[in-house]
Amino acid sequence: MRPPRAIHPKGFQFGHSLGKPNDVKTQMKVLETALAELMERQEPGNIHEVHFPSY
Amino acid sequence: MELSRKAIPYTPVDKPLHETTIMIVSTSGVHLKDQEPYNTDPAEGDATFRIIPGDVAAEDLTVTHAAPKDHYNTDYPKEDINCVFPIDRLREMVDDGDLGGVAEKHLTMMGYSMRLNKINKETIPALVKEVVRSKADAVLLTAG
Repeated sequence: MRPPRAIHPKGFQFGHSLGKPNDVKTQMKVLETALAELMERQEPGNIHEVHFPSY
Repeated sequence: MELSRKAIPYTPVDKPLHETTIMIVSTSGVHLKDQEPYNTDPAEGDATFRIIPGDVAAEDLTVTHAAPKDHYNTDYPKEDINCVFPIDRLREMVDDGDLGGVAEKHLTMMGYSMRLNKINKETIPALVKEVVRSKADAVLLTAG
């Protein structure tokens, strides 16, 4: 899988791609961070590691 | 057009997020509860995809996935589908004016599908046609 833009939330379990069940705050942060990648001109194929303290 | 296997397609975005419509494309095994579940028999695999209507209610979705539970615990998205398929969060961004729209449909597959050749040759081209014909400006890819 080589998507043009990607983030990797650090330390998230499988099944928690956007966060834990009902953790609206973290899910929204992850979504906003992922969509922000769309707006930033960048080299394709980089995977940006991101730490989400609320996870 | 045939792309090199090494090429990573990249399309610059020409409008702001608050004018952008997003479709979810997910390999997390999400499907409607009344759609046929994915085939979890590794001997058979599953190269199909499901079309999820854009106006779906989160509680009408579930997950069927062949991965072992310690690789992907589907109990989490079964409790809250937004763990892997953030439909409610996207709608909240639209309501807040931060996102232009949510597409009229979304597409899902099951990772761990064991049918990579068929997926590359048949499933992905069919899935891409669905995306191109839709109102989506961009897709959000999620895995399980």
